[in-house]
Formats: sequence, structure tokens, C-alpha cells
Amino acid sequence: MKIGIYLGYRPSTHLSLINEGLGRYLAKLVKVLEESGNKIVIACPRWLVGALEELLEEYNLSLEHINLVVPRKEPIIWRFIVRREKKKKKYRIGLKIKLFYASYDFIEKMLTFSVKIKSMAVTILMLLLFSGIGILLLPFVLIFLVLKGAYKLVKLFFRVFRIDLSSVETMKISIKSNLFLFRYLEKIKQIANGRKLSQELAERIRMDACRQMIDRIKHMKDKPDIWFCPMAFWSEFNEIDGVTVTCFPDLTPAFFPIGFGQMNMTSAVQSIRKTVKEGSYFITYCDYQKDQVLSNVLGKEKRNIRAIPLFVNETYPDIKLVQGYEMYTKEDPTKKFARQVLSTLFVNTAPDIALYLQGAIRPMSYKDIKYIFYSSQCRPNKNVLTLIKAYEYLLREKEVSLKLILTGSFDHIPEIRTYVYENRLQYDVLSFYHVNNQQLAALYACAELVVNPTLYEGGFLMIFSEGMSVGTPSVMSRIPQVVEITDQYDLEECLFDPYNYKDMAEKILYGIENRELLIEKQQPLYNKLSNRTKEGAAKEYMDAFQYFIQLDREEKRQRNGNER
Amino acid sequence: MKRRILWLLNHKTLMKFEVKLLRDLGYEVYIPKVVPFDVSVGVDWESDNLLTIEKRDLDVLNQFDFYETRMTEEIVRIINQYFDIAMFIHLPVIIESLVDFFQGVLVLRAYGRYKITGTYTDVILHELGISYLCKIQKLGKRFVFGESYKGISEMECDFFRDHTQYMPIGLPDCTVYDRWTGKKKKVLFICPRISISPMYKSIYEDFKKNFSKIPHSIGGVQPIPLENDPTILGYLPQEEYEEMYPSHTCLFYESTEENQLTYPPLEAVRCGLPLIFMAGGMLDQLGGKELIGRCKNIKEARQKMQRLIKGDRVLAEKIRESQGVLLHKFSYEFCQNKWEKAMSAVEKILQEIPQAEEQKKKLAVILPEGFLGGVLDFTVRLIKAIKRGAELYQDSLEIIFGYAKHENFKEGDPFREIKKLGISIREFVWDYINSSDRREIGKLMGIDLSVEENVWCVMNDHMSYFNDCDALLFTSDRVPALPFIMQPYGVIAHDYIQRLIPDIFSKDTFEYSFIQFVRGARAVFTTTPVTRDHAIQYAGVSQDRIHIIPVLYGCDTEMEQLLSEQTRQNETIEKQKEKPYFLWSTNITQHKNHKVALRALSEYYSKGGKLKCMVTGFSTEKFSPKYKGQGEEHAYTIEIRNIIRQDNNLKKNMIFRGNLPKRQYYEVLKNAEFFLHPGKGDNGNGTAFDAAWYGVFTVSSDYAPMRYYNTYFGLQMRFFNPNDSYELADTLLDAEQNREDYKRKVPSRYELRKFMVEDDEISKKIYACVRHECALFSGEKIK
Repeated sequence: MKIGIYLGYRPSTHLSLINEGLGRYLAKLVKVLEESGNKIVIACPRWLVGALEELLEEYNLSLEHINLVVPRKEPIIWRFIVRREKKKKKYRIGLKIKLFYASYDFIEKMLTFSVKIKSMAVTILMLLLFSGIGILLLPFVLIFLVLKGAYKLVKLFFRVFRIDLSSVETMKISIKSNLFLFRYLEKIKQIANGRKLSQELAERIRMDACRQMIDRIKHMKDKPDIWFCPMAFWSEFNEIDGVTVTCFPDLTPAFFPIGFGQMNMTSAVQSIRKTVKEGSYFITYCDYQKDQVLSNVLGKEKRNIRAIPLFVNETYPDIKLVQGYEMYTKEDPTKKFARQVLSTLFVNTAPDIALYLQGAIRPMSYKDIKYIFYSSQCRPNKNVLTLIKAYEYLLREKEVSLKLILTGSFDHIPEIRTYVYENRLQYDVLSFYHVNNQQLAALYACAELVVNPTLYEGGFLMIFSEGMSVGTPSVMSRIPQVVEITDQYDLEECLFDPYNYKDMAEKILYGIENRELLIEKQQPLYNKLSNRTKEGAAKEYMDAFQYFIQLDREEKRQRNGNER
Repeated sequence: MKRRILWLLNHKTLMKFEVKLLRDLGYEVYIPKVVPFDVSVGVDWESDNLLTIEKRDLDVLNQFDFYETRMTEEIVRIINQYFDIAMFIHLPVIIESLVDFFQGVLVLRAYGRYKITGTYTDVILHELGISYLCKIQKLGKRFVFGESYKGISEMECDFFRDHTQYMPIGLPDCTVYDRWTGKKKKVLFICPRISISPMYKSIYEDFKKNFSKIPHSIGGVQPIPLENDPTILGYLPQEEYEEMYPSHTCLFYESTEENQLTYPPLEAVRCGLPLIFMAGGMLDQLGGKELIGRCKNIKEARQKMQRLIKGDRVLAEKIRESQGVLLHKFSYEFCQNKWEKAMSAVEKILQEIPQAEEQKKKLAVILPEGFLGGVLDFTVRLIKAIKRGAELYQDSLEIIFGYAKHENFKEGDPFREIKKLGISIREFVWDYINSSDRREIGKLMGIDLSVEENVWCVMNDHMSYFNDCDALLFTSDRVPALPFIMQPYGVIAHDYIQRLIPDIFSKDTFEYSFIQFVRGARAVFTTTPVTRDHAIQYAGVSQDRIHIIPVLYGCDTEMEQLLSEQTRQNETIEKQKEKPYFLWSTNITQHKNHKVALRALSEYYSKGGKLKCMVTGFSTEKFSPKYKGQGEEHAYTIEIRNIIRQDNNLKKNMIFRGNLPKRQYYEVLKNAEFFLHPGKGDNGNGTAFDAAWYGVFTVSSDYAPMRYYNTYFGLQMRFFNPNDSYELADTLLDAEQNREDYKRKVPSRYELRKFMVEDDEISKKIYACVRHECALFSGEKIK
């Protein structure tokens, strides 16, 4: 089968897919499909190619075997932005340090030299020489200073008038004397509905590229049998000439509108709704999303949807020491190494916490730290604050001396930060963000227990398999997306009501006290999830694609029949 | 008799050369059997046959992990009994134990450090602190910096430089066996542990950046395989491994480290493989400056590699011809000579070490804050225990007591008990120094102490800043800033209330100095497992540094006086003079859980409770409804007072006595019906023990430390949930009704006496722990 994959990412100068959940999913999908003998075509904007290359390389794939459909040219304005970004990165630091050292060197040499002069005549000569040079150079220095001043003024001018609509509030101060301008800006702000100009520009650049892609697809000679889009944000995908299947993960913000209301998600949700409305065939990660959301809420026909679970994400290969430590018999070398990796985490946290972890005398000893772990962004549906409350209850009422480690930045939901600091939990509830795969694996491996308090997910929890792959069991929320998977396994005692922090706390306590039992009970489910072979997963997708192609053919035939 | 060497290195290749050489020089060498966490380690069980160590002691040594565990008393005894010299790697745990306890010559083996990993001095400074550099300096000649390449010590602190001996590193076999075939037409680059070491990862990335277009293989052990790079050889079976060097066109050695060399270039020379290397590194010093394979820049290296791959035999032969010179300094003959010289110097030092001189040590027990209550009592008892313990051990230990100058100590005579013990008392003030002062101090000591900006505190006793003491023992972790202390020290960690009761500190207070202070301690002592747990999980102290010592009680003079004046029968007569009451001894901090307790008391009286509630403790008079506010008051105190004011039950039944002098306090305690302790979050309340001493039972919050005390002393307390005021009210009613029963269950004085500091066993236990963990004396003395 020839399968087309459509990616319509927005332009960004530092785009990376490697550390994104969706990037990993995409890479695995491409890998299994390719290895099962399918031909892969990827349509994507030019700015994504680098990130894509990097991603596929990480998974032992190369772009050589994949056909790319890329727009021929990028807008000049985009190239302009890229060049500016690159320049920004390059110089500065190196130059300043060099200058510093050079001047230091110079002064040292002058000191040595000054001692050596022992004749008054030479001194006078030197003084004359230097003052001569000084007078000659003076005009140039003056010109330089004037130019520099002018440059600064221009820069300042641009800074004042750089119209960033989202920060009109802060601009009030600088322009409060100019009421007219202020009112004018307020008006634009209302029209723009909180969007940033830069985002608008990015969206336009994106659309332009996507139009070109779709056009190129139209004129392709050997067209793919089916087009698949792994995200539901890009509604133009449905304009592609052919059978189009969209992956629909979830519509979480729509179910937590107040929480997400301040997170600038409106346009994303609107695009998803549009994509769904215009699209015909879909793949979801679980039955719940298929039956309850896509079919029931969004009114799509069930027969046009297939549910295929996500790939299992194993963290073990990132830290497992497979050779070289055979002589070390004291404990499992992997666990030992994982503990060492933990000590690198202080750079991934806020400065005050980094100080707590490192300190001027001696850093935290990670050897004996015990903690429960939840790896997730801080989003309204992730229920992080309830987890923190459950943790606090355990620490302060139940005398359980542990830490709680998270991976989301508190900045996304300020109330989490407020709660943590008001209750003086900041040294026990630690959050490490932007951790790399090895650090993440180490965090899983050394945790007492993985706790997943989520209220709502697109599918069964990846976190479960990420933990179990390094031998750490989970306790999880009792939500439909979880229950539909755990149902056939005797895992009731690992589930809690995510709306009740005491229940959560009790299950955590149970999990810590019965860790071995939990591992034993969760192993069969983990085995089942991880044993879903690559071929198996590929087959599920191929079956679904075949099914949609067939369905499409039938529908077309019917439509034609009706017309006749 | 043959001299014995304790060889704490366990390096596979080194073992083959160095141990053999030492044996040839007439030494007996012991190699540990538990290896460190590293890739190139090895053991040699055969070597035990050459030893003349008693089997029983040898077994103990063989089971001991020198690389991760600090030496126990038994190990210390064994190594001091059998070994004259210790040669060791720069692992902090080894350095610490050897410096503390070993009485022979200490030879730190220095094989060179990478620029980014810092010098050996840096390692000791960062991992063990300035105190160990000071302690090493005090070892004088007994410490030897055994450098493997000439000039490594140039980067180190003055003391290391002045105590350097050249002990060159060698190869087990330096003959060149020309096995080169070069049939693979690829450059070999050795870069091990890419996925686990950031340093090697960047070396790998640099190589890939510069030489990706040249066909190459990357050798070296990869504990975590890199699947996406086919040039990485990873694990090779023995046959292929042996062919790895000869079958490549050349070896590229990238390092420009001046103080560090790895084996691969030498390995390459040995099998005749052309070596291409970058100028400026260690190879230059080994005679590499004139070699053809030397490259000044990447471009030159690239060109040479390409020529070799294309089959330029002339160049290959030219390179091969001359490179043998590199092996010269690694040959047995060369090294033997140098080692003989070095070891004869060590031999001379050994002869100078005075034999079995009795050690005299000075320990300062320090009270760092103006504590008058429990902490001061604890300090007094601790000093008593250590003093008695040292007598029992027949150690010649001088104890001095130091305290931070404080308002609280001005009145009365708070340290009279310590004076009675004949211990000298030293007052000091906390002085502050900044980082540049600290740097200056470092320079005076010949150490480079450059760290980021901080305020440090020193104990100014107007004499030597306690420098005359061998070890310090702080009886609290409350220090005003990061302490700059020149000796190893111990700390008593009493509690981490702030972790459980956040209100006790303001929300953004960061007890940075307290935490750093305990982390930097050589040993941390706690009296309960709960506080030990907090010290590990919250303060981040490693578990092996924390020790639980017996909970300390003692009858102080007042108690003894009361004891002699009245018998137990008299007490009951005395009691009837006052209305029956129970005692609530508290203070005005939040962790005493006043709100719950007051709600419970109100409930208790409304349900018909008859006993009065007598409140004592520091500042508690401020809770009294009659209290007229004077000066500034804490909001919490006002809040509690208002609760009492507004509740008639409480107003009528509560008696506020404030802070009582000890003697009066014991009288009040003795006459109470029972003792109430509704607090939580701390390390437990010792008054429960005092109460039991007077036959009074305790009604206490149910939390871990109190449960621990209850089992430890067998106190038979009545417990309630500290968050449930109703349960407390019921417990009070029950205690009132069944008080005679409960009183009978209180353990007798005979049973309690064995927990007191006056008991020799308790003193011995405490002293044994302090003696070893504060590194006062080495080895076991009495069993």
C-alpha cells in the first residue's frame, strides 16, 4: 500500500519533534508501516524537514526511503525571520568573554612593561607617543559614540512601537499620555480577539505552504492509496484529493472550558471542530473517544471511525546498562546508574529549587530519596493540584515521608505554584521540566510508584507502560479511558476516584506498601500492551486503511448510483 | 617482615602492572574483592594466597565494600593492624575514611584529570569540604600525592604539590607485536560510554562533526547501545575484539588534555597500528612532538587519515616507524626505577611515624543558638554521656563546651551543670565573611577556594576560631549562615517541624543554611527514626551519614533533690491541697496544636469533665485571658487568647502558670493527675518520660515519634488522633475516669533508670557512635 502522511506544522525556528509525544507516535507509526512493506509519502512544509530528519534518525529511519512532498519555495518574509534568529544565537557571549580576557591580558602586560621603564627620557617619549595616538583616534571614537547612540535610539523606538497586542496592559504605562493611540490599540485588540500578530503571520505562512502542498499532491503522478493526518488541527487536510483519514486524539479543552479558557486554546479547538466537521474517516486511540466523543458529541457515524490504541512507550532502553558492569554485583547496575542520572536534574528546575537541590556545601543525596512520580504537562485536565493535595495529606496527616516529583512547569497553571508555595511544599513537591529521555527513564526507574490522577485522556495512559517498562507500577484514575483497558484485569485496587484526594491518597499508600503485589498484578496488562508486535500494530492501521478505502469506494458507487 | 599495601583501585589493567611491580619490590599487596561501579574493574582472588593476613580478618576485608561504604570500626582495626601503606583512588568515601582513621602512609594515586572534571583538590573540596583538605594537611608527611605522569601535581593545591612522588603508570607488556593488517580501510576511534557520560557524548559528537565523511568505526564499551549509528562497534566477541586494532587503517586519538591519557593510543602502538593524534595533549610530553602522526589541526588529521585509507604505505610506515618511542615511559624497566625511588621515600616516612603514641583529642560540643529548654538539657546530657563514655573507653579526650553568645544566657547560670563536670566553657560570636574573604583564607592555606557569592559564618571565640579542636559536635542545626568550618563536624538534628507544620516558618523562608549545614556534616545524629527519615528525604542527607542514638534522659540535680526530699507516699498528701488537675506543658508555636486541643477541652468540660487544666511553658502566660498585651505580639498568640476568652468553659477551668523554674515545674508535674501532650510534627515530647518518672501517665497525640518513645521506654501512653478534637475530649474523659488504673501501668523508676544518661550502657552506646562517626579515635577499643 502507498500511504501518504500529512503534516501541517506551523513555522517555528526551533522546531523539534523528538521530545514531543506526537513526534514519537509519528516516528513509530512511520517505522512500523515502512517495515511492513508499505511505501510512505510525507507531505510537509519545508521548515519541518530538519526536525523530521532528526526524528527519523533517532528511530533508525532515513528520509531516503520516504517520498517527500514539500512546497517549492518559502515566503521571503519567513527566510528573513530565520536569518534573524540565527544571527541572534551566534555571537555575543564569545566576543564579550574574549574582549574581557584580552583587556585583562593587556593590562597585565602594561604592568610588566611599566616596571621595566627606567629612563625618564623613554617615559616622556612614550607619553608623547600615546597622547599623539590618542589625539589622532579621538575623532573616530567620537563618531563611534554618536553612531552607537543613534543606533540605541532607533532600537528604543522600535521597542516602543513593536505592537504586541497581548501585552497592551503593560504598554499602558509607556503610552498613557497618548490616549488616542491607546484607544486605537484597544480597538484592534478587540478585533484580533487576543491573538498575537506574530501568530497571525505564522498561520498565514503555514496556510500558504499547505495550499502549495495540496496543489502538488493534486498533480502527483503516482498517488497514494490513502492520506493520513496524525493530528486534527489542520482542516485543510480534507481538501486533499483522495481518501483522507484523520487521527482524532481528543477534544479535551472543550470538556474543561473554564480551565482551558485562559490558555489560548480556542483557535486550536475551533480548527479541530472544523477538521472533524469536514472530514470523513477517523482513527481514535480508544473506544471512549470513538463512541462518546466523535460519534455522540460530534455526530460522526460510528462506521467511519476505528479505535487503535497508542503504541507502548518503553523508557527502559534509555537507561538499561547491558554491558560493562558485569563485575558490579551489589545491586542492579541500571538502578544504580538511574540514581546517578537523577543528580543531573537540578538544572531542569526553578532557581530556588536548584539551590535547595545543589547548595554551596553539598548537594542533595539522591541515593536514598523516595518519591512518587507523575510525568505530565500541567494542564487543567491533568488534575495535578488534587494529586498535590493527596500528597500533602499523606505527608502531613499520614506520616508518609516521601517526595512528589512532577515534570510539568507550574507556570502553565499559576494556582498550582501558589498552592505549593503557600503551603510550603516547594521542597517536597519538585517539578523538573524539559527532561531528556534518559532523565525521564531514570525518574520512572527510581520512583516508588507512578501516580496518574488525570481526569480525562485521549486514550489509555502511556504513563502506565512507561513506568512498568522500568518496573515501577502505577495507580490511576478510574476514568472510562482507563477502565475500558483495565477491565479485563484484576486491577480495581490500583484505581481511585480522581475527584477525591483522600481516595487517591489511600490508593497511593496502598501502592507503596504493596509495591511488589502491584507489579505482579500489572505485569499481565503490561505484557499484553508491550507484546503488541510492530507487525500487529501496522496491521491494525493497514486494516483500518483498507477498510476506509473500501468504504469510500462503496460510498462513491452509491453516490454515483443515486445520481444516475 | 614484609610491608603490606592496601591497594584500593581494582583497575583491571593497572592491576596487572602495578601490583606485580609492588610485589617485585617486596611488598605484600591486598586487592579488595567488592569492585566499584565502573567498567574497567577487576578482582584477583588468587592474590589472597600470597598474603599473610589472618583468615578471619581477610574474610572480613573481602566482604567489605571500600568504594561505597565508610569504614566500620572493625575494618579500621584490621587495616591499622595489617597495613603500612594505603594506595587509593580519589573516591570521597575512601579518602574520608582513610584520612580519618588510617595510621600508615596514604598514597593518593593520581592518574590525571580532564580539564572539565577539575583537579584532585577540587574533588576533595566539593565532595568532602574544606575540612578534609585541612585534615589532610595535618597528616603532614604521611600523605603522598602519587602522580602517574610528571607534572600532574602542578595544578593542585600547595600541599599536594609539596608531597608529590612520581609513581609512573605502566603497561603490563610494552613489546611491539606488529599485527597490523589494516584490511578494513577505516579509521578507528575509541569513545566508550557515549550514552552514559556527557563528556564522552560531546567527544563523540565532535568526532562525528569533524570526520563523518571519513570511513570509521567507533570502539569502546557501550553500556547502553546506540542503535542508530552503525559505525559503533559496541560489544565484540573476544576474537573480533583482538582483531579490532590491527584490522583498522589507523587509530585517531583526539584528546588534547595535558594531564590525562587513555590506553587506546598505547594499545595501537603496541600492535603496530598507525596512530594519528592531535597536538597539545599528553602524548606530546611522552615524546610525541616529533612524530609523523601528530596533527596540529583537524584539517591535517583529515588529510592524513584520507591518505592512509587510500593506501599510502609510505606515510603509514613513516608513522609506524617512529611511534614506538611513546611506549618507552610505560615500560617495566623505566617504571621500576622510578617506583623504587618513590617507595624508598615512602619507606623513610614510615620509619619516621612514631610508634603507638597515645592519641590525645579535643572535641568541642557546641550550642549554636540561644536555646534554654529541651536543646540545652539535651546538650548537658550529651556532654555527660560523652564524658562518661570516654572514661569507659579510656580515651584521652578533652571536651570543651562552646556556645553562641546570646541574650538568653545572660541571666541565671544556665551552664552550671556543665561547669560541675569540670568542662571548660567557651563563648563565641557568629562572625560573617563573604566569598572574597573566604578566598583569601583559602590562599593563606594554599588552596584555591573560588566559589559563587555567598555569606559564610565563622565561630569567633577570640582565640583560634575553634581550630584547636579535632572535631566539633553541634547540638542543633540552627546556624545563622553557611558555616565555614575547618574540621569534620557532627550535628544533632532534632526535628523538621517545618516540613509537616508549614506555618512554623513563613512560607518563603528557605532554611538554606540549616539544610546545607547538616548535609555538610560528617555525621548527623537523631534520636528517632522519624527525624532520620526527614533528614534523608527533606534535608537530603545520605542515609549512611545518619545515626540514631539513644534518646537521652537524665535526672538533673533538681530532680534528685525532689526525690530525696519526698517519698512517693508524701506526694499524694501534697496533691490534695490543690484541686485535681492535669498538666499541659506547651509553648506558643503552632505545632503544639492549640486549636484542636482547646476545642477538645471545651468539649470535655461541656461533657462534665472535672479536672482543671494547668498550662505551663515558655511564654504561655500570654494565652491567659487576663493577660494584658505588652509590646509586639504574634498574631497567633492573640488568636489563641481570644479563643480562650470567648469560651466560658475554658476561662473557668484553665490555669496559666507561664514558664516555671525547673523545681516548681517538677512539683507541678509530680502532682498532676496526668500529662497532656496534644502537639504534633516534632520529634516527640520528652516530658512524657519525666512524667513517668513521677508516676504520672501521659495522654498524647498519636504520631510516630511519640509512638516510638512509647515502645522504646514502655510508657503505656493513652493516644488520640491529633486532628480530631472529639476523640481527644473522649480520651480526656476516659483518662479522668480510669486514671488510677492507668497510673498503675506506668513503668517503675527501676525500669526507667536504664534509659538514663547515668546508665553506663547508654553512655557507652552514645560515645561509641560519636567516637567513630566524628572520627575522634581509630579502631575498636573495648567490646
